[in-house]
Amino acid sequence: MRWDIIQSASRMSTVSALDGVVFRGGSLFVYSRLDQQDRENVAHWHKRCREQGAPCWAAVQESEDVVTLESGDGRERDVNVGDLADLRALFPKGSNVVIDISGLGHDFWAGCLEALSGHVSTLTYIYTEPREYQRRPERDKVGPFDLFDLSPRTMGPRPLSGFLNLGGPGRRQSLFVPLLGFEGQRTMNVLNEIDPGPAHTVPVIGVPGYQIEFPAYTAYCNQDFFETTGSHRKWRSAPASDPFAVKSILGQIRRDYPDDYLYIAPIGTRPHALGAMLYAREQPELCEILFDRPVSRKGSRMGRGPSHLYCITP
Amino acid sequence: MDELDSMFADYRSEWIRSDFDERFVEPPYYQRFLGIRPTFLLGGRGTGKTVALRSLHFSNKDTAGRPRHLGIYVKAFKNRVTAFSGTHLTPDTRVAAFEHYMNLLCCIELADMCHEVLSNDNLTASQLASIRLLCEHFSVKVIPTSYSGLYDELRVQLARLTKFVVAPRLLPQPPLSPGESPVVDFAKDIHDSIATNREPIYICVDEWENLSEAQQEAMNGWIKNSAEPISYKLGVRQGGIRTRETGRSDDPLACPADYSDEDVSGDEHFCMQVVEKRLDLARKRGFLVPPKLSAFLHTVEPAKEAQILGSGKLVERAATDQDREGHASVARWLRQAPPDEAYLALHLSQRGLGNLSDIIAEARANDSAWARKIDNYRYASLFTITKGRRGVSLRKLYTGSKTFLTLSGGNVRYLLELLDEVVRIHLREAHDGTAERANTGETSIDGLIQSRAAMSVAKRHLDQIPGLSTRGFTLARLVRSVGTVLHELIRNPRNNAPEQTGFTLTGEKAAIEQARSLLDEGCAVLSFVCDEPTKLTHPTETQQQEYRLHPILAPHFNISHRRKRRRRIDAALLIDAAESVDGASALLKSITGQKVSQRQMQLLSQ
Repeated sequence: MRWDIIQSASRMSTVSALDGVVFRGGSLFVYSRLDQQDRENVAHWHKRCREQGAPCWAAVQESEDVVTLESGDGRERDVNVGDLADLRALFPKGSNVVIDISGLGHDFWAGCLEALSGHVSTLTYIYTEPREYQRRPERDKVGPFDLFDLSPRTMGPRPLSGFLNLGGPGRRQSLFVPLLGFEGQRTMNVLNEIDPGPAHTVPVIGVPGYQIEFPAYTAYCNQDFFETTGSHRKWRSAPASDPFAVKSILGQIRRDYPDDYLYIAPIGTRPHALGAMLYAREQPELCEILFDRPVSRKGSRMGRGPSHLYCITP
Repeated sequence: MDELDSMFADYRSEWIRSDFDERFVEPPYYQRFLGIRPTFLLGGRGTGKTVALRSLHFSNKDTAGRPRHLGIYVKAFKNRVTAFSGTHLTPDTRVAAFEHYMNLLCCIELADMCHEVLSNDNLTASQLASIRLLCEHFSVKVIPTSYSGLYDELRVQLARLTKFVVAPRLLPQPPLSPGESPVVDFAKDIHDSIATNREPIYICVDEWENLSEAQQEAMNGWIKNSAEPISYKLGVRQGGIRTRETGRSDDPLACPADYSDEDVSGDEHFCMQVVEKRLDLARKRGFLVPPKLSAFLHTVEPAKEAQILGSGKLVERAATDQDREGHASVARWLRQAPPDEAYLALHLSQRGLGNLSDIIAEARANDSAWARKIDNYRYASLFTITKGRRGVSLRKLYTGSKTFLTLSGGNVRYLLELLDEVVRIHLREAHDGTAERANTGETSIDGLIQSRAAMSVAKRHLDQIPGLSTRGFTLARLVRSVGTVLHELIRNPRNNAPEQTGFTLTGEKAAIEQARSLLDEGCAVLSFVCDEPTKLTHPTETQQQEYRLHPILAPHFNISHRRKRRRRIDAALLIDAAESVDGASALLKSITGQKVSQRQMQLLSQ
């Protein structure tokens, strides 16, 4: 598949494997070797970078603010992900950049959205779905809706790199838009941060999901949230793997609540989180991303599903 | 009655309602809180800190439409203030940019207050001069000529600061305002211009605990330097004050020299006043509710409760046995005594405190000794009546205003939530026809409904624990473990002191510290309560904190909600119990001395 041709006509494409994808010559690749997950496509990127000599950076270590990247020739470099200048300095001006966000920390690829805007020629994000998620054994459940064992704790909300709104709602009333996932308690956690509570709540569910049953799990795992907020009948949907659809849905919600300040909480899939960021870049003063920074349990995402290519820039 | 469903439904965010003034009840510390002295309000979520701070906000008006106070309210929202702690900013810039942010937030609110209070844009020369001075502080070139214009301009400055904080090395640094000068100058001008008396300009900062140590240190400097007309009022969770330093060596913020503390947690009397004001409001709107909480929540007396829980069958079975064994007088006493006392006699014999006929003989012969037994054991005995009966939905009743106030732990929000649930169930059952409709008399809520509401709220709180803290799942498991242990202790009274609800920690120092850190986090999110111990119960015990589950959770585990006796728990076992179900089983086994049953496993894991 010639991605360089496809991306001129379409913002998104899906492949079963990345091996057959042809990128623009000289593209610079970034991927993750952080989590030993199938969906990080490490073997693929290794082959492309080491054997075909493509320039690349592999994230090999990650702390709160710093990611250590290793280049194809084994050099290591620390990048402060909160520093957009540091992120920008990784990529030559006018380059074609491909970032596989499947295993990378949110701050890195969120920061790149802002840092690389107007700096690189093309920016492509790739996301590979996991096949399944780690279920929580019955005896370890701490609540009836606690089906999955994905993140044992969260660090609490802190702005994502490149995304900050110090102004807050001002005189506007607030609207809470959680992009729901399997961790209903995280949704409640973020909701509790908004005090006084939001005037309105409009959840978004990933439909269709990666698997046919996933939307039902999402609804089930968020029962407490639906009950607390009375938002059973207000939910909207966007495909779990389509950030552009999420961006569009958020635009629709904005039109339905034109005077409200949006608190957007990306709880569910990474493509949904990406969609939230794409929207927030266009409406920086009318919305705020509330990301609660879950600490993922190693091995909680299993298998490798289809890969999606997203044309971010141009 | 239907409209009552909204009387207590505002427990999440009571202050945003338009009838704030009608519902507001002055907390007991309120008169000390008012005035020029800076004050920290210390208390957990739902204790009324925000309400007290918001009561000073300029939007609360008297009957003549004038603001009751000249106050502003800003919140240290975690998702914003943490942006100034990023390592992409130099340490100096972090603090300077944060202070600039606080200046902007406060001055935006002050501009909004002036706009609302003056309600016209024909400003006097001194007011225009004040705006010019403020613009000088913020390096604003185009001077607005109205307070609404100033508000808009300052928000533009805030947006500019946002862009810089996001990308400090890609954008030039905007001019950062100096220290607290803009707020001080603007507040003084406002006071001269619009204040009608010597009342301060209140600057209320909520959620102080979200500020980093460096940020608190900077703000402490503001408080240290504060002078008339500014008064800082600060809301903070217990343990949320990270430092008292002010940025100047050897000159920390000192209490009482620089500020006063008000511990606002756990005031049951204040809670009662809040809900009785709601009842009063409902009466004014024509609803048939009594003015007193004690009349609204019917108290089921112990004798009736024993009967409802099914003590009659147990007592009759025991009486029949006594008849068969030829102890007719014992059987007669059991049949004639009030149900709670008759069951108490059975309970005492199960505890191993004597055989039944001896216990009853003592009850008949010695009134004062029997009265002491009633006092010590009757309440605990009620928890054991339903033991061994499958499918019982209510294993213990929780009724009456006193019980509900204790369940709330003096937390206004919790009490409102309990009452909201009570009203919700009451209305639903009235509509379903399963409860008697309110007659012409005042409504008094049935004890069974109260108990079901208490259980429902307890369950909801238990399910929410994982979402309340970054270690929420660990805390939730710990709560379940401790709750299950206490449940087993109260249901299996033999060789156990009655009503053990608290515990202290024993073991290695490191383990105690680790367990205490988790329990303190539990206290911060109101899953646990920490009390100072009353008296030592063991020769090797040293004076240390006593923990217990927050009473709001008690109905879920069918345990006592009262602060009573305590036991010692090995800290290492407690930590293991928080980590896994196996650890929880080990804790249960070590305390009850018995193998963990299937039912207990279910309690631990569900």
